[in-house]
Amino acid sequence: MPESPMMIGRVTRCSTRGFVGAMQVSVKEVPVFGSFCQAEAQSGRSHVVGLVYDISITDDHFARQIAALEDVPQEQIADGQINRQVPIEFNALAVGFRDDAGFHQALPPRPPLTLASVFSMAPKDTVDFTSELHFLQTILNAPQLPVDELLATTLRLSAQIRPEGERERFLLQTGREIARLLAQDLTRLENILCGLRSEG
Amino acid sequence: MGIHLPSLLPQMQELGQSLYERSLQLSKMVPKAIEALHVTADLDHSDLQSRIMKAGNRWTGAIPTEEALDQTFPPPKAPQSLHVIGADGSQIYPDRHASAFYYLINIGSIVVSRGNGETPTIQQESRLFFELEDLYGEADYPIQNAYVNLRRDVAEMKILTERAETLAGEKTLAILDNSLLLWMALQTGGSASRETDRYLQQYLKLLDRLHSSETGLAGFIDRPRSVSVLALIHLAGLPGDQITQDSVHLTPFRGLTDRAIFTHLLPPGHRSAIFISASPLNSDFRTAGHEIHFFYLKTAADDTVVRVEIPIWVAQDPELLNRVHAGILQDCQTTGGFPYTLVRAHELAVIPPQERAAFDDMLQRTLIGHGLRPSQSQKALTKELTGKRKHYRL
Amino acid sequence: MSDSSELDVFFGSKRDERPLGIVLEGSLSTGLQVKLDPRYAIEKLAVGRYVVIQSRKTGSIFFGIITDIALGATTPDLLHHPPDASDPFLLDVYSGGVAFATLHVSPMLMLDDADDQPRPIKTIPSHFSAIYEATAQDVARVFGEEDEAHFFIGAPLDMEAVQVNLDLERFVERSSGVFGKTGTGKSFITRTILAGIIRSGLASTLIFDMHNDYGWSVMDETGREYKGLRQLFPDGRVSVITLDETTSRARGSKFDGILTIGYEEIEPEDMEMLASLLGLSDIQTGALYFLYQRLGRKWISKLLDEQHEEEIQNMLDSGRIVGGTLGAIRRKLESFIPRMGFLVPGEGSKVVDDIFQRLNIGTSVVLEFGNYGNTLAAYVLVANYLTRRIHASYVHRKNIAAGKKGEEPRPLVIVIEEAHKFLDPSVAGHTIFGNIARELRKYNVTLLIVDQRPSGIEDEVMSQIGTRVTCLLDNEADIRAVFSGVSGASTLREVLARLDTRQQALILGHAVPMPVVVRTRDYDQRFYAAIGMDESDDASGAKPPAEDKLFPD
Repeated sequence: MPESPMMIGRVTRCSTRGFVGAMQVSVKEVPVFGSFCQAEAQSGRSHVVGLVYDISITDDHFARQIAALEDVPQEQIADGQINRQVPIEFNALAVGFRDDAGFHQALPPRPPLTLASVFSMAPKDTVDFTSELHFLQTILNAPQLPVDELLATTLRLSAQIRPEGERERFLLQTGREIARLLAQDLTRLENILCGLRSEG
Repeated sequence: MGIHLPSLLPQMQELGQSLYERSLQLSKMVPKAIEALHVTADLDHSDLQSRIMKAGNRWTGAIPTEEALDQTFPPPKAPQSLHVIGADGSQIYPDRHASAFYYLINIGSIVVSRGNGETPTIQQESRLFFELEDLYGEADYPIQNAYVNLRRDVAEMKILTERAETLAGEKTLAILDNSLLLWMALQTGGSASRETDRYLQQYLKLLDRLHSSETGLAGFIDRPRSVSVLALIHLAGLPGDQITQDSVHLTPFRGLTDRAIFTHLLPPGHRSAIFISASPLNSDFRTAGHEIHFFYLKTAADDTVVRVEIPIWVAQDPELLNRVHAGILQDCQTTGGFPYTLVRAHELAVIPPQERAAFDDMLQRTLIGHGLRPSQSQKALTKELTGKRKHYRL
Repeated sequence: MSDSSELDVFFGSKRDERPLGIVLEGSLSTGLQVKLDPRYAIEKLAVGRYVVIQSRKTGSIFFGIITDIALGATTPDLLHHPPDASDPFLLDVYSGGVAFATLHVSPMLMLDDADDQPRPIKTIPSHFSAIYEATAQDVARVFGEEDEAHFFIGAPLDMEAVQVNLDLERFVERSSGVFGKTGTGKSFITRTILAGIIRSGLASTLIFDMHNDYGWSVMDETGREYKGLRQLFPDGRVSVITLDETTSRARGSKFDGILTIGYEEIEPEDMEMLASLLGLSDIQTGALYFLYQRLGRKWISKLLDEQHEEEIQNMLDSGRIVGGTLGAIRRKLESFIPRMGFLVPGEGSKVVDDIFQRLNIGTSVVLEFGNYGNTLAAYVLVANYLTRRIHASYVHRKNIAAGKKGEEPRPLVIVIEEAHKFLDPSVAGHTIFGNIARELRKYNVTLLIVDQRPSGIEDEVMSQIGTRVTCLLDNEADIRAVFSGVSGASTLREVLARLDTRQQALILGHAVPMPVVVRTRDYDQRFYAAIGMDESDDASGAKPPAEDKLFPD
């Protein structure tokens, strides 16, 4: 996770439940599944906190063309993997918002503006945001998302950016909260808990 | 409501019919033209030269060099390592309907170092022009788009030159997605000609630098529509006494292109003989020692023929010439007859509509931040409103 | 949280440590369900331990006992999908959430702000009230200090420093019982309690000592020797009366008198208790009364010896008794009475008055049966015989005192073993012991029954047993019997079932503020010293009481 917030796209479509961002980015800047991002709303008075759950590389005819060939020079492969700006589109689930009073884990009152910049969330802010766990319920309730993988990945990443001494405690705390929410489905619970622990 | 389809439908039918008939005619013409080329090739060199003299200084056909006109030259062995530099540019033209009066030139370039497997280096340069001298030049009225194109072309060559110079001493090939001749210099006139001239001189100085750094410089023209070799063939076929300024233009090969002949003539990977461009622009280049030559090249097995322009110091240097020939072929291998470096340079240069929109947005906010009130013209607003909106559902 | 100064004084300093758990469910009649905080290891808790509950709403303190411990889960699915036991992270996540431990707590006492004494509960703490382990201080406050009227009986489980004190006044105020299956040390505990009663002087005791467990020099099954009550109190406040002089001498027992019962002192009522033991039918039992009426006070002699055949024949002729019946009676008496050496022809030693006198001045009497202890019929006969008469004296005395013409008789506790023989439903209705139990303490007489089969004791009598000291029982019926008539006590079942086989007892009832599991104090040198007997005051050097001049050492 980059240390300082990085622009990862602009909002192209949105609602209060989430938004879609797009950008031409170099491979280094492609947003990470399970990472948090912020998009401006209400003319800058608040920011919607999004959780990236789907990333796709769109319309890259050129790469497809090269990929179809058998004998591609190494320089072109390297060029494609490292240099090329890829047009990406990502979907983010709205898990909260931030205003003058700080972070809130509730559906944002207004969606972000179209073409608003979307920034990856700095580690310090992610630690701050994830110190409350209501957003877990939002993830679990979201339809048509890879909920279990998203939950495990997001929390694993959030643990890794914490100082080493706090990781265990965070994982245990979140594990217990998920256990509370999923007490009726132990198979699912166990899968998610294993995902929390495995090295990504 | 846009076009009136009902009245267009019969016209489209006529178009289809006409194109079909024309293609039949043209296909009958091609063998004749090739035959004529062979005949021209057999002519005495000085005979050809005198005919060209008689054609006058408005004749824009191809001028032959020492090479036999109908000869094809096989691809030389590709060098072990070669640095291929590509550059391309794009622009945002000044728009009096937009929130501010400015123009933008964006140049993308890439250097692929063939043979060492390393990641190519890419570069993007964007420049915003908004000062009065940029917007008006030396005139009382704002510049035209052609002027922006001129500045862009010069900027492309500048980037090529700079990148080539960082590789001085190594084998380099620099390709431009364009003719090497500065075409805009032709189209501007009047009080702008002083400025145009200034840019031309800058340009020629860049060519000097490229010459000094022993770079294989080439301009790559995709799907060329030139007929200059056909003009030469026609000229060669006229009886000596019937050569007038008018008769040289009435070629029986109208509708045909040079490309059509060379598609038949050239095996894959071969180049044609080198010709000299007879464009009036070439005189300035000639004076500066950069007379522009050209040849046709079949880049891929599927009959793709392109036109490659080279300065005289490449045409007359066998090593540089071969480097250009083989280097371009190699660069086109994975990209179906078009150089990889130019595809990428184009990608790096182009401004996608989203980014364009984002740029506008940012600009508006900056202006507001400086206490200005950007106003969009009614025309611009109207365009926005009639665009499509898509609803987003999570 | 209420104003805490009085509570702090009563229960010791504030509780900053994290609570054991919180109250989730429960009722006054069945107790409270507590969810254990996952930080605590369930293995460190045990049934029988004390807990303190602080009401979330009023701050009142409840004092209770852990009566059950269980493991639960939020979903039965856990049994089919347990977490991988080799993954400590999974186990940690599940513990306390999906899988948790619960305690069942019976609250017993409550302290309101206004009180300074704990009272029995009439309500329960509100949801989510916090539970803490009781500190030694908490427990000590409930069970009071040892003094003349409070006797240290033992320590609560895992709290060796705390003393549980029996309220002796209340103990002797009602009949009481010591129960437990064979080998659990009932006689040790009974002896300890009796030592306490004797020392306090709150009552005299009359102990029918079947197997030489109380009077002099007690042996346990390993052969180790312990001091009897006579040895503990060498100053003469314990007398030993023996039935079997020979055996007592042989044992080296010091005794203060020999009991014999004359034939002429025996009444039909005395024999009736033996009916089932002797095999007398109802008709035969009924005939005893007829015989006594016809033959008079010497009826036993007349039946046994052959010298009064004529009188007997006359009786037969009268037709009021059948020959077969008479024959049977004679045979059974002949098989029994001559074998009992303490039964002598004539009047006997007139010992009843002697015993009564001793009891009335505060001396306790241990009746040693010697070898006769092995004959149940002898035990039943003597116990019944003496108790009927002593009781009659007490009634007489009490009535005089009521008329203000004399003093009240001293409170008396009669100790009987194998109590179910005396108190089973078929006989309890008309035995003296049943009466004593039922009349409460009308005539200043109560029982202390020692028994391994409390289920054999009639329910109505059992319900009059005020204090129950119970060692390990494993028979369902016995356990039920011990808890009968005590409200809310069935929650203590698990507690009772988990007692150690020796030296642990559950005490509940009148003499303790709330049920308590104790490890009874050791019966050893320290105990002897605490009771007040000096090591040097051994049997050999004791000062004999005035009456005892007959048998020098």
